[in-house]
Amino acid sequence: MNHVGKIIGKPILRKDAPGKVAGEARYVDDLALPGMIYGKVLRSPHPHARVRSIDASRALKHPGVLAVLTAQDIPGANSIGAIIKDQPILCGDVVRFAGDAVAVVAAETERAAEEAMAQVVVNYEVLPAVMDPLKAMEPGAPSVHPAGNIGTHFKARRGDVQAALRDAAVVLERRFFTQRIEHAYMEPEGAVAAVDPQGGITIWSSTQYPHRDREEVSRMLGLPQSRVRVHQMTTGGGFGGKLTPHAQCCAALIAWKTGRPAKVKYQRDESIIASHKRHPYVMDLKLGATKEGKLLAIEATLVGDTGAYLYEGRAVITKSVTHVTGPYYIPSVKADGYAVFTHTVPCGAMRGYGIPQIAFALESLMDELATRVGLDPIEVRMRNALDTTLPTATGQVLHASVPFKEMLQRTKRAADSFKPLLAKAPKGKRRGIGVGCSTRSIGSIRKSSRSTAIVTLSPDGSVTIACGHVDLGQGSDIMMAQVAAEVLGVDVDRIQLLTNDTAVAPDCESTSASRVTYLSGNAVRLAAEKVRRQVLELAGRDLGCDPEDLRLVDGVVAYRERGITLADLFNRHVYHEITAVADFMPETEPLDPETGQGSAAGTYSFSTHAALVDVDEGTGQVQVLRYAAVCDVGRLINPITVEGQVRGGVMMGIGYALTEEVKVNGGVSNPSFATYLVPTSFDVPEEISVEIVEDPEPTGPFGAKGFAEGTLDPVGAAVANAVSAAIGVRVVRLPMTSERVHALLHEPSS
Amino acid sequence: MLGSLPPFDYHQPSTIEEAFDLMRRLDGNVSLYAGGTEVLVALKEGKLKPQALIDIKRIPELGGIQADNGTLRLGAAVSTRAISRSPVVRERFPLLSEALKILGSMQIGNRATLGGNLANASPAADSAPPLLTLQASLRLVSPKGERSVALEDFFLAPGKTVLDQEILTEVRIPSAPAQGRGVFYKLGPRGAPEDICIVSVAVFVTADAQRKSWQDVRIALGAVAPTPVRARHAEAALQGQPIGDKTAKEAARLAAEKDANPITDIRGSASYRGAMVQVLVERAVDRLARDLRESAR
Ligand SMILES: Cc1cc2nc3c(=O)[nH]c(=O)nc-3n(C[C@H](O)[C@H](O)[C@H](O)COP(=O)(O)OP(=O)(O)OC[C@H]3O[C@@H](n4cnc5c(N)ncnc54)[C@H](O)[C@@H]3O)c2cc1C
Repeated sequence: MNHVGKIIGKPILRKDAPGKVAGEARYVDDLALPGMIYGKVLRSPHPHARVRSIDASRALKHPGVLAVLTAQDIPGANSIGAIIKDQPILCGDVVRFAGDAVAVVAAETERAAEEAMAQVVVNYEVLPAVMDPLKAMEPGAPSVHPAGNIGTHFKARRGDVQAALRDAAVVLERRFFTQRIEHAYMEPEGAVAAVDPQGGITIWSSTQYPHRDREEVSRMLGLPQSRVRVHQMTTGGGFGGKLTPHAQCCAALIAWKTGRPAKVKYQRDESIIASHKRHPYVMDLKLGATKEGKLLAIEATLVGDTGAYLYEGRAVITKSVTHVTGPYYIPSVKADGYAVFTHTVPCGAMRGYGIPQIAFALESLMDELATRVGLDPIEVRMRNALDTTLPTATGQVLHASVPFKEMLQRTKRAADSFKPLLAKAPKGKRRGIGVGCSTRSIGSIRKSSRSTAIVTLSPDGSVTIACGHVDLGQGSDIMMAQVAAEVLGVDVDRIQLLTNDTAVAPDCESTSASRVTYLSGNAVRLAAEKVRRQVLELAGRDLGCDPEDLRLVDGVVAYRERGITLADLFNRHVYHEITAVADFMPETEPLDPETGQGSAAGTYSFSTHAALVDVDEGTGQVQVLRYAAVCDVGRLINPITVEGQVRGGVMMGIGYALTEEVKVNGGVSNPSFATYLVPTSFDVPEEISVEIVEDPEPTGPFGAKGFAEGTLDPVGAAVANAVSAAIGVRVVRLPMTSERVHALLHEPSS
Repeated sequence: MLGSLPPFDYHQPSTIEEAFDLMRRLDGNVSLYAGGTEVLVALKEGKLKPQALIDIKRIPELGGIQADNGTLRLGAAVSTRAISRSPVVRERFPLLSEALKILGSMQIGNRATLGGNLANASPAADSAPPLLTLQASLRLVSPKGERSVALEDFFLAPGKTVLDQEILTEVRIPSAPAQGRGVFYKLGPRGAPEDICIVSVAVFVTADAQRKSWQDVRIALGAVAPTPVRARHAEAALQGQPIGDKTAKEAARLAAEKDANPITDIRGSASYRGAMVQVLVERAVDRLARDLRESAR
């Protein structure tokens, strides 16, 4: 390929950026169709109750009200969920968390819908609720679902952990806690739906998976999937939160029942109360090692609170268990992960997907191990680092692109550069350095992942790519354009992406799991290569030369000094355009249900981070002063988007580390940005340094692989290790609010 | 879970008489509306359901910043940011300027008014502790006349003041002792200033001519009692005492134990708040002692 490196690796500005900055991008809420009406979702105030009756008679008399829809109005399946469909769209008999939907009110105006909603009378029989996952596991606890409160038990088994722990010179054991986290995307959930005259339905959606929206709406209405068409609008962030299309189903139901176009959008508080969260975990970890700091065994029990529904919980807990050894080789493994039901807001996908939790626990113990055996934290990690010969927790050996040791060395340099600052802490502050590392498999964990792309080359040399992985603001469109531009020798401006319409883009599964570059980058590359091959073969025939000797540049096939335009070539061979389809599915091997052994993914990405923090001795306030993120992308496709991902991921991780926590007291008790505290510009460290390591992944597009969630995965761990180093007390609970750190400083046993 | 503001009538009187007239005609079914940073939120959340908003920003008596014969007069409808940036405030009451600088973000500061901050009567109102230490008083006007109320007597409970069908027109700050200096500390849950504080502390002091002992000591606390409060026990402990570390510690302990009476809420526990009063009062007094030492050199 004679253009390689021309476009791959170049900092090309994303096409969506200027419009977003200028406020010109159009989101779902900017869309208004003629005759459009509005829906509001009535939600349960109780964590657990039986719905005895719903009386909508008064609400229906309210001016402007068109319908009050309940479970009985759903023509097809009344269930929804990203992986496991166990959440009712509208609860018919039982509500399982304060926020569960029981009805939708449709009216001419938003206000009329709100006012009428207050007049719907739901008669609830309040039932006992269980709010704590450990209590939910006890016998006799109130059941969230008839089959019991343990939604999943996933195991990893290798070697004889008991024997290894018995023989270990060092055994460390601790319980760790993490909190519920809200995605806090700028744009809350929303959708517009309209029935078409042919009896199908069209949805305009804020989504990270238009084809899932299509599937769920078709199930709910009992329509063939082909009659449901979903347009993804500009989407203001997803982070895993826009995988379960509840607002979409509500809008579709209203449109279906009333015949009028309908908009449903969540308010911010509603989004925080009802959309799924990152699972809070209780983690018991036991680590055995030699006195030289070589890890021998890990025993872990991970309890993830999946809330009222399991839709993603099984996969999230599987991800944690399969990554329980982190980026290290640990010969003996016994890990049990449980996704446990409680009567709380459901938990599901949220950037990190089970890794930030386990990284916090494991990395904390790695630091303790370093202290116990008298080694530098980086050195102890180096001694146990995965390489291309050692297996992960699932027994998979990664044969290439494992730059973890080099990354550790770079992180050591970063941490060393922080060291002279340690002595410069102002009076009243304690300063500390911490490192945190992690790895993650790219793509789905419990099954294979496939991506499909259709690439079309037009006679004028412009290119259309249809591929169902949507851009949520992370920059996948420019990535795909760069890949195709590289192969087809055109400028990225000549490339048009069609990702956001289920009628033209193939289903590639969700934009999630750090998968899009690895999977769709490959599918686009493969399809573009097919197109290129076909073009060069045609031209080779005409020019009487070997296709290998031809170049395709700017709509011209060139051979030495001669050339033929695509227009001429296509014309001669009666092609109006040339299209190719390709798909990519990495080789994986299913996980054994008893041992968790298998090959979970085609590739893994690594992260090594270091943080320098100050802790205010008086108030307990933590400030991250410097941060260094070393990232593993295989090969850089677009440095601007990569750096953007890193900075965003680090700040999201700092929120996880320090201030963010969805609190539940019955229902969510802090559903606003005045009480759910995401970091602001005032919390950004003085310096976030971003280092990219390129160690190409042979199966990736031009060597690239996914990494985006990895930018957040170890942040909680790195900051917690820095705080623990600063105060001399081990942090076992996130977030490290001022009050909690103050307590650790003054009553370390608390 | 309201998405939109409920409907309301909107009036913008240009005189105070007109405003009273509207209040009477609408029979109390109104909210005074200044910057609206509290009112609009409360409307949206359904906590406030007035028939009409009376925008008081156009009433001349509520505007302006004036310094006459020692007293500084701050119009109740002047934005907190304008006050913070006003040269006379910065020169004569840097304590107030500093405190208002971190009342919310810049956007909030451009809308929020001083009168609104006080009339809203939040225990965490950022203007209250500095104004308490500056011994501010308020001019309250009603159709029947006007009265002057010391800020200390103005707050009754969270959200409750002595206002009785009255409009707060101005905040008056008497001339402060020339050698006085103050500090405002606000502890929030993250780096951003727009957060409602967990605890705030203002300390205003003067020293004797030799800068050896504390003379006039005024300490006020925010977010640790039903209203912003003066910390009289702590003040008494410092009054006349030599400037040095030990007394600061003792005063801070008294502020936490005797003067503060915090509750546990979503922002912090009562015990943490108490501990923070102690930390911040001690820090503030230490900082003032250090400033005195440094300015003496
Ligand atoms: C995002 C955000 C951040 C904030 N951060 C802070 C902060 O850091 N610190 C802080 O202290 N506050 C903060 N606030 C609260 C608020 O901004 C302040 O209290 C502000 O000073 C209120 O002034 P206003 O003019 O907007 O009041 P308004 O909302 O107009 O009025 C508030 C109340 O006072 C009454 N009122 C107003 N003026 C008068 C008057 N002249 N006479 C009689 N009654 C009157 C109104 O009827 C109403 O009941 C924040 C608010 C928001 C939304």
